[in-house]
Amino acid sequence: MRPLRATDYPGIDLSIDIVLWGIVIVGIFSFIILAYGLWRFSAKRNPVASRTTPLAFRRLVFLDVAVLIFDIALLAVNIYFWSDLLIQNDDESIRERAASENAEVVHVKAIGRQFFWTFLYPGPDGQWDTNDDIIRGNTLVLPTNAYVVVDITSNDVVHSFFLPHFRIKYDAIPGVNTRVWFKTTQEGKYEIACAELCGSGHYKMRGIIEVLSEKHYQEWLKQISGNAYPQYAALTPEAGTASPNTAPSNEKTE
Amino acid sequence: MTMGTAETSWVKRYLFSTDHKVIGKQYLLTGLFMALIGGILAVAFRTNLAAPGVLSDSAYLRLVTYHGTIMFFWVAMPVLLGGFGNLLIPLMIGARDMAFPTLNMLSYWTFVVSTIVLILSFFVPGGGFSGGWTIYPPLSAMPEAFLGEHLGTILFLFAVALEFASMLMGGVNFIATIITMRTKGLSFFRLPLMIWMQLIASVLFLLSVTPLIAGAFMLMMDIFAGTHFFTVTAEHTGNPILFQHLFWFFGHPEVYVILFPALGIIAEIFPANTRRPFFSYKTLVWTGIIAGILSFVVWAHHQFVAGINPYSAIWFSIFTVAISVPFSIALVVMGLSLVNGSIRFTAPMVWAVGAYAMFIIGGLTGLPLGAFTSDIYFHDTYFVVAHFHYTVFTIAVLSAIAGLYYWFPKWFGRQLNETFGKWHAILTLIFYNGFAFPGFFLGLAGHPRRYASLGFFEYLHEYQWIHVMMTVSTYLLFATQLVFAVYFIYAIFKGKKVEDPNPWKATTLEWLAPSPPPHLNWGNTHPIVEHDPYEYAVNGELKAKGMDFLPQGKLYVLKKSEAEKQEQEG
Ligand code: HEM
Ligand SMILES: [Cu+2]
Ligand SMILES: [Cu+2]
Repeated sequence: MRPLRATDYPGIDLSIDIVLWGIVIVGIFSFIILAYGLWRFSAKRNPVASRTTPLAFRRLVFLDVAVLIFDIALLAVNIYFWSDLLIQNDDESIRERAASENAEVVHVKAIGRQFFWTFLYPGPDGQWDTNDDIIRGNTLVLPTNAYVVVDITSNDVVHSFFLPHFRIKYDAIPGVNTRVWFKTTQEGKYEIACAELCGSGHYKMRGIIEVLSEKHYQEWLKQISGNAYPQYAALTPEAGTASPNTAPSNEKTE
Repeated sequence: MTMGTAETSWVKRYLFSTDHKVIGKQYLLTGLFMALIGGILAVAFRTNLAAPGVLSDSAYLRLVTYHGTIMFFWVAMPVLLGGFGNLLIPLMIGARDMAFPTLNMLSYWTFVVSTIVLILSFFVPGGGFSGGWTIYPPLSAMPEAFLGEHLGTILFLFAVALEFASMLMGGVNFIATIITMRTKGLSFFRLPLMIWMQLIASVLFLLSVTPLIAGAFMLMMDIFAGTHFFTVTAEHTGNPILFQHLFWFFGHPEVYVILFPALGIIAEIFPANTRRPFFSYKTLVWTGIIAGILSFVVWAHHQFVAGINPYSAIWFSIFTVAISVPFSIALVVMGLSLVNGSIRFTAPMVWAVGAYAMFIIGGLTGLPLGAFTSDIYFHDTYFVVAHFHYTVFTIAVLSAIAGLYYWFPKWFGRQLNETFGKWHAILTLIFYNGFAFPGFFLGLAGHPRRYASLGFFEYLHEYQWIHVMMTVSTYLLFATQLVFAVYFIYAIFKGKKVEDPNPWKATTLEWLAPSPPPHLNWGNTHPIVEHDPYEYAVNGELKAKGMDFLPQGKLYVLKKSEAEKQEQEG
């Protein structure tokens, strides 16, 4: 039921698969035993109760041992991928990761606001806060085969930057910078949902990720770089001035 | 102190009573009334999910917010602690009333005031608060972020504060009563599990609520005094995450505050209907204590993706997953207590078994959320909604109703119909799973929670039919409970009178008292405890007499002078 995965980074899906299979198996096993116990020891079949518990049943205590072992395995897997995603997420580590796969690194900023996202690129010079920074409303355009680093913050209330197809989610918090990274693999248009209650338009706060082939991405960058700056002032309002605005559009998002 | 004599006025006896049983009833009935409101809200906003547009965007969120808040603070707590706690603690420990009867009355009436303020907050100009039961700032601190429900927010916070004050009075009373008023022979390790669970719950509440009170106060200052504890502007950098810590330091133990009494109910119903003692009573007590302690070090599992230090997240994930160990032990021990039993499927037992089974689902589905990497995906999706309904609905509805069927004779001296009770249980279980289980699939599909509709997202479009199905189940579930509500009221006045004061043949002390017990409970007798709480399947002398259980204590008739003394102390 998960939406089609748009990345070849398997960590989160693997963690989900392990835990879901684990609980489904333990759950079904428990229910079967419970049903058997209720049937076998109903007053009809077992009119006289006794205070003893036969060894065969006492062995069910091993179910707890199984849970414990499962817990440990689960934690090991989770900690491994967690540290990949949220601890080793400094520029240096990401660059190394990308280099080892011959992938590009794209660094962007995402700013949440009632009820849209604003994305910033450092522009051709690769430096932040310079005249060539690129600002986009609600659509994040990316190349394939790239490690995308997103620094997230918010201008008003708490939002959450949720990319179902990339399995990534992290809150956008005013006054705080948080970071996620993900890897693009396939071309396509994907949706960004807001996953933290942010006001009455919470359920409409839809952003788009457009992953283009390397060639199209470069064309897009060239085309956009020339006319990016003038919108800067209009798009980064002062912090803390929440007002239900409509998304700025330098292009229509479908 | 009031006496149960005929001269005391009606007002003193039924309204401003200090009798724990009357207060328990008041809490119970107020809580059930609020459950009806919480349920109506659920029906309303579930309708919007099936047919988007029925409610406005802000109305949807307002109803969800009030639904969650009401179900926790105005249903689960008053029913399970205020209601069952008040009724059962003195009776099960052989006391004549609570340690502080007047405080007890004050607790209830503070609760009534909090209820009135809460309802008012919904109707004031600007409307009620709509920022979710978690009240996260900056959203909750900035009226302009919604539609200006300034007054509504203030009253809402005030109502919650009053409710906490009321529950604190109750909690202090519970702890004092259980520690100091146990009758002769009732050592701690002879306490019925319900009493242990009430004790642990009260201690958890007492210890966890303080930071939230501080947090709520700071939040109010942000709202009216222009402080910036949690809000961020160009000049002021408050910290929104701080509030989340204060909230969840309370919020997680709070879930256990209602969970433990619910487990207590199941733990009383099981042995009385399997006719054997627990596989290991002590294990159940210790797992409760350990889980209670652990519940203080897991709070940030609600904030894994909310900007907390990724290293500290590791510890929170480890502790959270670790909590599955005591709980799975407790569930296995309870399950083992069915073995070699002679299970009577009475109405309370069917409810209790249903609750037990649903707790298995609720507990297991906590793992994907406690394990932090899978939680990156599941956090704040319908998977969470489904998971916590498998725990909180099981607590506030299944376990509470199990307790109602079981102790109805004790409350009202009448009995609920057994066949009715079993059908009620089966239908409730079916419709409950119908509205809750599909949530796991929606969560897997990546459906965020608190969405008035999924219509804006293409990747979710294909799942609208699931919402329709869940809504239909909700209607059927609600209709079932309405029928029960009518029957319940009828049975209070017209139900079959119980002839045997101990209709379930149970061991614990409350069944030694008449049903319903008189004022001060024990008349001219006094219960003294001689045995462990669950002496079923006994051998020897009693067995020869055709009795398969050994009541925990005996009633001793008091000499006249002693009886008078008791009356005066009561
Ligand atoms: C009639 C049965 C019930 C139905 C149909 C129902 C349905 C729902 C739904 C659909 C939501 C999520 C709405 C959303 O995220 O957009 C919700 C939220 C919630 N429910 Fe229930 N529920 C029921 C009973 C209960 C009970 C018995 C409790 C607790 C004791 C409870 C506690 C909550 C809480 C705490 C929330 C979260 C509110 C929030 O997000 O602020 N519910 N309920
Ligand atoms: Cu948002
Ligand atoms: Cu928690």
